[in-house]
Amino acid sequence: MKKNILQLAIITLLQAYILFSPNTLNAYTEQLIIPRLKYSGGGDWYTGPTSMPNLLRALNERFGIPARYEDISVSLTDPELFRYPMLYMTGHGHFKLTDSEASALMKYLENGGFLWINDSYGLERFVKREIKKIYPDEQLQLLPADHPIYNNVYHFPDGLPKIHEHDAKPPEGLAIFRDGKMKILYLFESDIGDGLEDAGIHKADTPEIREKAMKMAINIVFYAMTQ
Amino acid sequence: MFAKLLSLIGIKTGNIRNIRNLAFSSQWGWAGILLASAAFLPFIWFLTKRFEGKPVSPKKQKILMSIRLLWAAGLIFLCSSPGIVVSGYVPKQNKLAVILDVSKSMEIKVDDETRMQRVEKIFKKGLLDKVLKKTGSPAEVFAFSDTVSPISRHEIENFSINASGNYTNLGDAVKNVTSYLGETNMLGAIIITDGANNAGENPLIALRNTRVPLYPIAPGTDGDISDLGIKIPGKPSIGFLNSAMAINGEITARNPNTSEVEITVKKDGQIHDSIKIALNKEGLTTPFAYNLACEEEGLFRYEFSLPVSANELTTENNKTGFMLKVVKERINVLAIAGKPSWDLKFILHALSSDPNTDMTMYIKAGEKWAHSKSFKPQKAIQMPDFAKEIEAADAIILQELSYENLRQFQDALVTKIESGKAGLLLLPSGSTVYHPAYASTPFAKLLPVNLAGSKWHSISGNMKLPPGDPEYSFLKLQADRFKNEALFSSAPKFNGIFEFSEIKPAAQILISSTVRGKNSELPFLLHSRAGMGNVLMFTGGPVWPMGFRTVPISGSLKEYTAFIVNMAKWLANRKEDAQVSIEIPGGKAFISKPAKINVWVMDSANKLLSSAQVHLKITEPEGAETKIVCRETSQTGCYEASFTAVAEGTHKIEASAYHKGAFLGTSTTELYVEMPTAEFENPQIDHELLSKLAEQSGGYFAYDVNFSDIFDKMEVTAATKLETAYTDFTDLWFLFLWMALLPIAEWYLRRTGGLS
Repeated sequence: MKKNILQLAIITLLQAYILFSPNTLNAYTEQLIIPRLKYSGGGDWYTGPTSMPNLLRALNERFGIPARYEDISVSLTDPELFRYPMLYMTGHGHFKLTDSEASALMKYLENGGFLWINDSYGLERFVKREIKKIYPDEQLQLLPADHPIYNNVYHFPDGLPKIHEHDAKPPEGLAIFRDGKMKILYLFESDIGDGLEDAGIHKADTPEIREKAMKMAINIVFYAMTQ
Repeated sequence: MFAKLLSLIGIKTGNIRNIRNLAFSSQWGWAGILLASAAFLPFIWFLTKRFEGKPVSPKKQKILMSIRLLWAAGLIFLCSSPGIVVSGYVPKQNKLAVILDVSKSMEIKVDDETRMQRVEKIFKKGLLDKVLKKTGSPAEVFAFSDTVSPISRHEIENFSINASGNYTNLGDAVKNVTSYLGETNMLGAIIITDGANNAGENPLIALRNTRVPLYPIAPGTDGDISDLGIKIPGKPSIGFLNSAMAINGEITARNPNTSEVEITVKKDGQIHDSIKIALNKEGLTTPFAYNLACEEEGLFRYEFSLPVSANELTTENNKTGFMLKVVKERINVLAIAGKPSWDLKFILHALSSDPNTDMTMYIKAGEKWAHSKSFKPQKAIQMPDFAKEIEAADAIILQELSYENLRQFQDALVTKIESGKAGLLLLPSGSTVYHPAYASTPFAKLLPVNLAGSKWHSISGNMKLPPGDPEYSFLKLQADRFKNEALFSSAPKFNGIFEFSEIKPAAQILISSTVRGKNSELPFLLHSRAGMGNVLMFTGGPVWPMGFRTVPISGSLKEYTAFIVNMAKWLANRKEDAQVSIEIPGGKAFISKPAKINVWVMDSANKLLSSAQVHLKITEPEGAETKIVCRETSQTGCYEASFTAVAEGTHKIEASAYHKGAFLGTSTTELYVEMPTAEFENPQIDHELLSKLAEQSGGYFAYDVNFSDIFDKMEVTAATKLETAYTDFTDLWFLFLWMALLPIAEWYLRRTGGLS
């Protein structure tokens, strides 16, 4: 009996915390959520589960942006997709869009959505192939080092920072533009997502490298929300 | 019989023939009367016995005592304010109303016969005689379009009824008639109409609670009619020089005899262009888009017309038009925010689709400001020159800006808005913009609410347009009022809304909500005037899902986009430096429909003036002049007048203002008056609406050829209703007689008994 009362008390306290914690008690209840894209094809869409919660926490702590620090996933055919104007996609493996997914993604992007693809390693050929299903006439364009995405909040004079080393290739920020607006951002050979993860997950990621990744990710979010 | 008997003794029965109940009433109640009698009657007995000065025999003593006690008892009874309530049944009159549609669509011809001519036949076939025969009472006949009025017997007999109404408001017509005749007295209402409702609430909603059975009669069937119609839902009013405007419209084609139609575009009466449109084979409507090039500055009348084909239902809907004012510059929108938000992002997204709008956005990012110019993100900067940006802006958007940041440019902002050179849009977010701490700042005077005591409700809800046509064009995203209301109410729900302790008296609720506050539904979008400028304030949010989730209605234009773009243009409505300015909220006017005209008056220090004398001179296209005196409104500096045009075409409006005898200035503008076309936009008979109305109310729907069927379906019962009548006992003649007779009886007994 005593145990039940204790459980009930703990649950009530937790509920009260969730309801009234500073994170949720914003006058404007809309919180920033950047869900990861749960894509088809068999790739590990779920890799790096701490990346987005860490980025959202940083946005809240540094800029006061109301945010929900959770790793949420959404598929392109999910009716909930249109609750999130920005999507994060990552992974190492195979990625394929079905016809209905391609059509949903196109509508999502044309209606104002933004897709950020972080290539953890090995996504390149699938991304380039699948983007053609949405924008057959568009090419991924290399973003120059002086592009605003590298200095809209934090300054990256050399362009996209290198976070995680794979093939000793230079990092590249590529994008698809339509009507002057960036629709898809594809980060190749950089792996910002790794740098956003909890400290200790990737031994090579020093605090300086992780801060660099966080700053670049913040630039990306600001860019998506101001274009 | 019993009722007559009661009447004889003075008890009121009114029209009651069959008495159901008689009830005694008294202010004291039975117990009060008994208690008073128990206290008072022994005292009377004691007094009269003690002070009897004559030798009275015991028998006579008893008789006299009884008379006195009866009189005293009667007095106590009368003091208790007694009355009698008679309740019973009175016969109910079985009234049947005939409500006749006299709107213009009733003049539409099918097979060489107008709908009104078919109505005449219905009357000639003895509709009114059938009513009399069925109910025993003559029918009450009314005519309706946008208003309702009785029709005399003489008018019906001669059938001198003109279908000239510009609108059809079925719901209001039935409501007015039932309220006039009394719902309980009515057996039903026969409505002779084509059902082409185009004003007021949707009749199915307006009449959902009526207890009167409705018997609609449709004046004919449309058969295989053919008809071509054209409409442009979001008619533009402002164009920008050297740019093209996308005019999106719709062609309605019923049984067309062609697969392609040519739209002729006229500019100021001269043929300007023409486009060929292939008609949609699958559906009734075909959307079209036309790029209108704004090549010269000025005010122009554009008309889009379709050719008239043989045997069309009506040709009134074959053309539509608008007045377009072409001005030099694009509008500049400036957004300043404390944090990025999706609401701002989607506003930017919507505005970027309009070639005549430019936008600059500043968002606080730590120590710096992230910003975008002409919709393109830029490098972060340390400190923008806000004073310069505000000077260049035509519309300013603020969201979640801390007072520390706002204070830097607060004076420039307030001056700019009050001078009317820019409008202000406020978006809610966080606890800064709408924080009570703002209440005493100069900025707060721009707001339509008092910020103190604001309370946030984390309740999701829907937007809701107040009833009636929206006053401002940016709220009219669909030509059809019901579709427009449905568009706002079906937009994605918002997450929460502020409740303010006070909405300033001059503020206007442009969009309400489904969320209830302490007293009523909470407003979602408020408007107020700050000096000469307009201020709009969203009290809840977010609004962006409306832009992100809704499916585009055409290739590129979404309702949200139109809403935001038109709102920005309305806010940016540049005012000249004049002390007098004219505002026509609707932007246009229709013949026979009052148009509201506002005149704003300021002194030389740009302060809005009350107690000014404002006159309007309106010149019709043919030169006739009308002079109107404006009345002062509750908004300081605002004077309004209502003008009902009788002629189509461009009217010149000149406003002159005086203050304490001193001339302040004049302002001129133009107003294009159109012939209302609402009656011809959906010219076919709406069988579905009429049959649903009949079904919903328990009536019956019939066509004119078999209108007699409604009498077979109509149930006439000898109806009665319960009524009550009250009679005050102090008004009863027999009680007065009784009270007077008792002392006379004592006097007589004493006199005859030798006791006087």
